[in-house]
Amino acid sequence: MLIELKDICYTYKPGTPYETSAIQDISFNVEEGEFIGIIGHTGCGKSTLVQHLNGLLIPSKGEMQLDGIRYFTQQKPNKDLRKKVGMVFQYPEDQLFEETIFDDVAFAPKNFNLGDGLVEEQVRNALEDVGLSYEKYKDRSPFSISGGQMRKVAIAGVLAAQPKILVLDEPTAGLDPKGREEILSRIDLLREKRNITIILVSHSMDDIAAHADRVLVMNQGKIVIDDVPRKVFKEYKQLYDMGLDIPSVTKLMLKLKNKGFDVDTEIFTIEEAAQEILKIKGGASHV
Amino acid sequence: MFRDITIGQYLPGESFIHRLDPRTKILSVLFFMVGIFGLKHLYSYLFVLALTLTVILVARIPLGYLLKGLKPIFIILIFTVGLHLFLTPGQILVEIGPLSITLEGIMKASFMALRLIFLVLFASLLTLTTAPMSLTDGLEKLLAPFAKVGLPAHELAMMMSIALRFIPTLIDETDKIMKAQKARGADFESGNIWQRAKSMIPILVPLFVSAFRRADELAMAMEARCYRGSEGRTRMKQLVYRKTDLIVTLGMGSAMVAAFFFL
Amino acid sequence: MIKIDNVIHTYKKHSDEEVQALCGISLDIQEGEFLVIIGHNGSGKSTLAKHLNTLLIPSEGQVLIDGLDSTDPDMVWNIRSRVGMVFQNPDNQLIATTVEDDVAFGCENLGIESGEIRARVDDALATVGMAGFGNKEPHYLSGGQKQRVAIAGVIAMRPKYLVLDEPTAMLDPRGRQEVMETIHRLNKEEGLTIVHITHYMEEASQADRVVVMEDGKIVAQGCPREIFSQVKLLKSLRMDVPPMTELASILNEAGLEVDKTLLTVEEMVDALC
Repeated sequence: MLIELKDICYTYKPGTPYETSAIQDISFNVEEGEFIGIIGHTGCGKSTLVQHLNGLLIPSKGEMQLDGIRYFTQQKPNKDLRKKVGMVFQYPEDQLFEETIFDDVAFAPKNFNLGDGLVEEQVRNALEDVGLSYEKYKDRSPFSISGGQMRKVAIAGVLAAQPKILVLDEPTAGLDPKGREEILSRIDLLREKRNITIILVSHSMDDIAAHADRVLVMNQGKIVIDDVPRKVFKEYKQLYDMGLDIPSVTKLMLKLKNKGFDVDTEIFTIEEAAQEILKIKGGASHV
Repeated sequence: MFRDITIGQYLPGESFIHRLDPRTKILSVLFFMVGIFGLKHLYSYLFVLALTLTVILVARIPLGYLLKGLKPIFIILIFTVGLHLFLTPGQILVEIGPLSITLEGIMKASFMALRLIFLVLFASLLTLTTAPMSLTDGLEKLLAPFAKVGLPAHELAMMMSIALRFIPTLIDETDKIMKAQKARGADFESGNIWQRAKSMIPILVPLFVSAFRRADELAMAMEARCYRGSEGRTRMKQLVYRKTDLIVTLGMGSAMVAAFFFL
Repeated sequence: MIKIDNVIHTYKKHSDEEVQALCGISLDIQEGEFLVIIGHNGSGKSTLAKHLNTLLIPSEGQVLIDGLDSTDPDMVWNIRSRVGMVFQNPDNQLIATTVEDDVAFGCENLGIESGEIRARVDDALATVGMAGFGNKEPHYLSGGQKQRVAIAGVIAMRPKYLVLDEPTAMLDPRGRQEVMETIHRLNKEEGLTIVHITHYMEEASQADRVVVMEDGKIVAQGCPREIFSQVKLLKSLRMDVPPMTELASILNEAGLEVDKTLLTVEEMVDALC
């Protein structure tokens, strides 16, 4: 088991009138190489939860095990944890600060004391992993490129530390469809090529359904569903109540089933839907 | 780390002090500032203490909340007290090596400390009982006569109000950038002063970049809403200088003249 | 009516090379219309939007707002009071420390009398569903609420046209829904002309007319059904197609005839049953 969280609770400003409990009794495990999607409304506690994974927040209660090391309440995490868990925040381009893209991407590997030769190699790999040519971009200023490219450089800046686990908080926020698709396919590729475990926080049920192996649905600081996407969408009534949507293809299948058609409702891609419909309508004979 | 600051915060309320015209309050604070530096005797301090307590009571501001606002000036306070305590010549009470504490030193140090505390308390009372917008409006009106000699009164007030609007946004942003750099292995807590100062660069550069972007976008949004300086501009909330305001201003002025010259 | 006639906009980059952001755009915007402009970042849609209230002036060509020429410097304020504008970042367009003072800002700049501003501010806040938030600080509002305050600040100025430059791009689904419901209501109930810029297709599907931009040009326009049924074109531009429209296109290719212009799940269910 790569990550094990047990009964994690976190309270903001404990002991003051502003005391608020952000997450309660969070327990889940992550296997190496898994792609986990976390979904829920703004304020459901998902950002608070993921900040525990690299020790930016220390749980008020509960314990956590990461890559064989145990962490307890109020125990100061070490740099090792930050290196193992890379964290891409919302609008990560806001963190760029160096004069050249090379220096910015090299910031993390240098902080984590990788050797100089290794730093260059890591920067090269990281930039190529996000789809930017090392030679073309390394000497340019990170402030002279487009918004979508800045986002990629910022992600490379996290990848360069060679994390085992990559946490991404809304990595596609504010991007156009082209940019969204590019980032998500790069994340898929990362996992294939480097076997990085991915934890993706998103508002988009469609993105999560298309990429994650497993979905954690959060509501009011708790995990309410933890299952594979197909099974999660079965709980559409519960999801609606939380104000979350299901992919429109799944919605279509549920409606068709209600009308008496014998269709598989555990479906969320357009291609699968087309096949199911052709099966019941017999249109397939024309193909 | 920025959450303790109470200077500049506003506690909405309906008290007599809250309802005073901001100009009255600004002028009163000004009188007060000048006045307390003329205080000489113990009973004049008692007089000012009574005045401050009265204002706090009338404004119904929790005392604990006010005192918390003194935290940021604690270091300055210690420094001032130390300076006066050890460096005032006079009748020596205690000697510690080359340093000596004199009776005059103790007197001077405690008076200085009291003045500073009164100053901060009174200034905090101004911001705690006055909405930021009305504070800047008041300032603009008070400075308006100086516009004739080239003082950009309206622009200064507008800048101040925008600054107040963006302080919380920038605090959140600082917090977020700090976390992002920590996640990339940045260390803000160890090393000597020089190293620590250097470690702030990854926070300051992004903050400046975003502040410029914000300024740019805000300017555009203001222009789109027909902003063109003070010319032809009206206000929704108009300041009304009532009789009570005049009485309070005059009262405060004469009290401070009295404290300065006679007490 | 807004008339955009063969507008070209060029600007200089830092490297002094000239870039053409708009390459001869012609477009008429009718009164009462709900127009959506879609396109990628860098397609010129924001540049076009800024031409509608003289934040930018055409390098060539003409923009006429109710017959007023945007290149005439004397008309700037007249035009800006007719065409209100809401921007992408909710944080960077609220000026005042309280909601009501912010909503009043535009009216104050127009020199409206104090009592009238008060009435308009209360009215505008109620219209966007933010009545009772007047004394709140913008800092404590959600993204969707901030955008609705920004909209209130514009409609308090009583413009005829409301241009929204990607107002939903930085919001979560709930905030997006709040904003979309608000601007649809303004269009239907107040008769406000809406020009909404977005890259979310589901927002475009409820428009009267959709304009697709790419590389500073208009590449397609029409009602949503006409636009989205061109699945191939949209895919080649790497834009999203509403999933049901895409499904309809696949089914048709496979020989099952369904209406190619359908947009919603309900329509698909009807088509299949």
